[in-house]
Amino acid sequence: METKLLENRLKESGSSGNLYLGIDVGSVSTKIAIINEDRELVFGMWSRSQGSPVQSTQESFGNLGESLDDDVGCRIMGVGTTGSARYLVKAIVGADIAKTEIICQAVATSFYMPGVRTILEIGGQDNKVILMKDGIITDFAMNSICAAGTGSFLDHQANRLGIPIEKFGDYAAKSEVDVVIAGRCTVFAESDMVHKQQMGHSKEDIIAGLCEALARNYLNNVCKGKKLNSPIAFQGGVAANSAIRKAFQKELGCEINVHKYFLVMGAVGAAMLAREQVRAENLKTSFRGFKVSETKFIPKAFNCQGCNNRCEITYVQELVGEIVARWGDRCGKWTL
Amino acid sequence: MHTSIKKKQGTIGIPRGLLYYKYFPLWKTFFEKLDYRVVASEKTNAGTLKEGSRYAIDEICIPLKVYYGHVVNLIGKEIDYLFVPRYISTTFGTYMCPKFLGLPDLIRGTINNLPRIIEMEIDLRKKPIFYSMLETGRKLNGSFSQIKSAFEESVKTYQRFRIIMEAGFTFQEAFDSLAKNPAEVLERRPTGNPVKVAVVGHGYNVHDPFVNMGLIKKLEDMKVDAVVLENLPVQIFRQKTKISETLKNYWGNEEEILSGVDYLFKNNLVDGVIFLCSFCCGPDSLIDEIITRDAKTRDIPYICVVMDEHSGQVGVITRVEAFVDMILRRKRSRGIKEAG
Repeated sequence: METKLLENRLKESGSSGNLYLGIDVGSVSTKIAIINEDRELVFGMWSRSQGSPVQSTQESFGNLGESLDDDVGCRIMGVGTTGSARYLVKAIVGADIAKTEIICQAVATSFYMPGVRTILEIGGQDNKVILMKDGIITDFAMNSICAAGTGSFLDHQANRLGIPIEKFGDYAAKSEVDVVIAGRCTVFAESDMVHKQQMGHSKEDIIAGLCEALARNYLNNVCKGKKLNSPIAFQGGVAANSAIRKAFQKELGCEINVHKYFLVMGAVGAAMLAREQVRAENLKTSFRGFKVSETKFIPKAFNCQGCNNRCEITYVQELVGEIVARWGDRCGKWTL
Repeated sequence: MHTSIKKKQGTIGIPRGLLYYKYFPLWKTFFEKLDYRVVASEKTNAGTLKEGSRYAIDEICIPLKVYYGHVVNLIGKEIDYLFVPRYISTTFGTYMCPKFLGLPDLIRGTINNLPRIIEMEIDLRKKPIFYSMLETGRKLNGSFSQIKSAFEESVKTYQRFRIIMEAGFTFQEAFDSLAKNPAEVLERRPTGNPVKVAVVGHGYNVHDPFVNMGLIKKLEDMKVDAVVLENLPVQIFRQKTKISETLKNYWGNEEEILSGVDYLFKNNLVDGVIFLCSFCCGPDSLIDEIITRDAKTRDIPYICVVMDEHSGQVGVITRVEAFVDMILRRKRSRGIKEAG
């Protein structure tokens, strides 16, 4: 599994003190963040996830074991989850809160970049824009049903061109001619790219064109009608792509900041919110410990026959033990 | 021809879709007073939408697909008549969406084996509702005096229904309590959650938990008081809204939404507004923009949640959760500022 260790200051920060854990399980990656009582990031890890959120979380926890001392698990005072699988992961690891990515991103970003006004976030399957003022969200928007212009699309095109996604920025930097790619729809963008290739344009120019199309599409669709004030922060996996960042700078005419923790910002926010909650309500964390990675969970599903809705009920059960989570019903009969 | 069920003159089926969520108590009382039995189709479920999508054209909005589904459901229920009104205008100076204007024709043109359709034309721009009801009552063998008293009775029921909803009840609660003793004192729905949010939109989106994926219940679970348009004082809907000096709205349903939102905004009654909007609803998309601008100038959180038959629950929940969290944090920081 591909992983990136963004921060590990656990050793230097000593072996005592409370810690808070944040887990962000998205469609293509899993992010783990551990913060201390002063809300500073002491450990941050990103890993590409393949398969179910349960597996991804467990694998990430498994990898953690190598970098963490045993006592770290005991020092965790609160756990927060975020991302599209936040409720599932909350049930599996015994987290204290599950919050949307929007709130998590906003909370963490305004801590690391005080005064931030706009957060552009482009992830694997969705993208969002968050507008802030004085550390408070004033407005936000997410892409609708369509996932055009998200990380998955770039991944797919990188595969097609035979260029690793990490090299996209370098390639685009070498572009000499402006090539316009239709970015409105993934399907059209792809056929447009094929066409441009056949016309003899270089890969460099096409990649640069693609990145600009993606930025344009994002600004037109997600941010439509919104005033993007600076300072602007750019986050999510796609922020690693310097060509997209440049495209945003060109379109918006101002500096686009990418914080060094941009990959784990959502997880950091989840940890911060867990800290906030635990302290406000004097909670004792229900965290089940990192050894949860060794527990065998079996995801199962069935169609409820109770009424005409035929809801798809999914649940997760421990190999030996009880059902940890169950949902999918409209009426609430099965939800656990 | 008339099957005599409990000595009644026949059974009238009313589809549980579109303006059912507005006028069902009225129609039910009217037909029952004319000595007919009234049945509504089953509550919307996945089967309703599936059946409806089979008949309706692909590009049409879900509320209409759901309506088709309800009509199909009623055909299996041994009814003698199907009540499909033609709503042209329900308030003076406005028009309904074209799909309402042609509703009986749409149903007749697409679904086979229909029972006799009672098609009542409601056009308040041209004639008072009583004349529409009189015409229909005559066709159903009612005498003038019988129709007149049925009319009065149904208007009374409708008004009572509105009063109950105004007290803060949901559609279903208000409808259920119609059967109770009128002398029973209405207790205002308990409120007092930290956040109060208005859920506006067409009744068939707001009051049908299948279509909106149980949004009202979700909000309650999140400790949010949900206010719907019908909870607002009836008289605020009587004035015409004005978008700007030159622009006037002429869509009937949208007029209601605009009046409601305007009232909520001006009186600062809620912490935020959620607009439930059907995918591909023309009029809704127009007023979304108007409300967005208004909300921005007044600095009131506003979100438009678009629903279509493909939307998973996750998308709606994430947006609403983030919206509520945003309001909570906003309130908290304002509280700190004021205290400091």
